[in-house]
Amino acid sequence: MATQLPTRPLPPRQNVAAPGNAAPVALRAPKARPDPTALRIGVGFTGVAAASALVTAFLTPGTALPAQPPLVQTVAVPPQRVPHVTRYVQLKPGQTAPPQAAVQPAAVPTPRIVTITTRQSGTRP
Amino acid sequence: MTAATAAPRSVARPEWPAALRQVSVERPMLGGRVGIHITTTAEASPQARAMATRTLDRIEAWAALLTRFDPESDLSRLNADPAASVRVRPTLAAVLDAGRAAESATGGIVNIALLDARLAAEGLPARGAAAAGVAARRWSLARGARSTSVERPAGLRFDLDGVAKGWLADRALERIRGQQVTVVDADGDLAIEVAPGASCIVGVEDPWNGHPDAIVLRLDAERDAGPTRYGVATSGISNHAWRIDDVVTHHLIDPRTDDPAVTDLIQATVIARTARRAEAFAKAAVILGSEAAQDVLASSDILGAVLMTRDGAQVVTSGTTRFLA
Repeated sequence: MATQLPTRPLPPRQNVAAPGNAAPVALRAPKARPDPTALRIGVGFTGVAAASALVTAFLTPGTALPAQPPLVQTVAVPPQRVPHVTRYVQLKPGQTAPPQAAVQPAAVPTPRIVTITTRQSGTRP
Repeated sequence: MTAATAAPRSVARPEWPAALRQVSVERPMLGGRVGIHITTTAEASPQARAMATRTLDRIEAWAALLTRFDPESDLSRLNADPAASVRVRPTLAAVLDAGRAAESATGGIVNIALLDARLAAEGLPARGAAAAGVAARRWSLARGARSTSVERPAGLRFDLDGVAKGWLADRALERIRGQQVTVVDADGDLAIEVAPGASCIVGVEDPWNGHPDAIVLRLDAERDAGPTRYGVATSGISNHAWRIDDVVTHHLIDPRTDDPAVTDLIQATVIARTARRAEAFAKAAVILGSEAAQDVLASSDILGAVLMTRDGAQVVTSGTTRFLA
């Protein structure tokens, strides 16, 4: 014969309507959720863009990477004086030539010409 | 600047002129066309145009005093006055003085007291003084402290003609100074000022077909000199000729005969330092004819001359070649 062991009573159910004549319990309103449509559309477009980028990358011919610049080895050199020889100077208006300079006149500018006609005059005065 | 073994060389280059423009203002006047042509910088061209317009106004005012075609002009009043001594205002006095100078320089060939002879040649009414001869045409200017009077035989009348045009050109040029090139064109008589390094090209109109450059003259100014002035004038008998009793005659009166000059020249162009001088000798050359004209021109202070004969020849006097372009 089976012996029934004593059992610990279960805790009362919460928010479960009691059958029969149990008193009604107030239900909490469901939490409002955002419309997922915009997010889904965004994710869809992102996927399409990513797929397009991948296809483009696969189909584009490969390009060579620029050659690695040679390494430059910096060597400390003692400073040298480079002679700068000034042979010609074009004087600006108002400037004078250096004392020992040989001055070469500039080319003759194009003369300004006016054309007019002389003729026998009229009868007056 | 660092010196080298060779001496350094410098290139001195004068300041180039800014962009230049030619301002031209013209107006019908003196029975023809009077114009002022100024070459100046683009920035100064508005002022040059205003100056040229003001000077043309001035020329018009002077010309109104000197014309014989307006009975209210100073010249007409002098000619209409029966008195032997007549006071004249400064402008008319100055032009009469220029006429006196032209007469003296040309040995009497240019004479401004020939109005009646010219009217007679044109078949128009003239006074008896036309036939009076040279002695009856002696006149003078009496200058007082405040006024100037013309002393003349009663009835002597004046025709300023080209003398007035040369005077107007020279006088107008004095009002316009310091430009690159200035030309005052008083109906063919030119007063010109050329700045150092600049040039003015003058075409001589062909008396046969009116072509503007039968001969081309180039008037320069030395680069190291100051502004150079020229006068260029042309006189001739092809423009103003008419037929009376089947005789073709013209307007240039020979004072030795009081008749239109008998000449082998159809046109003469003279280059001088002033338009007055050029006009006087151009007219004298046509009246004298080619042979006598060359002697007179050679002994004068003109710079050059181009004579064109009736048979189509062109005679260029010595000294003129340097002006031929």
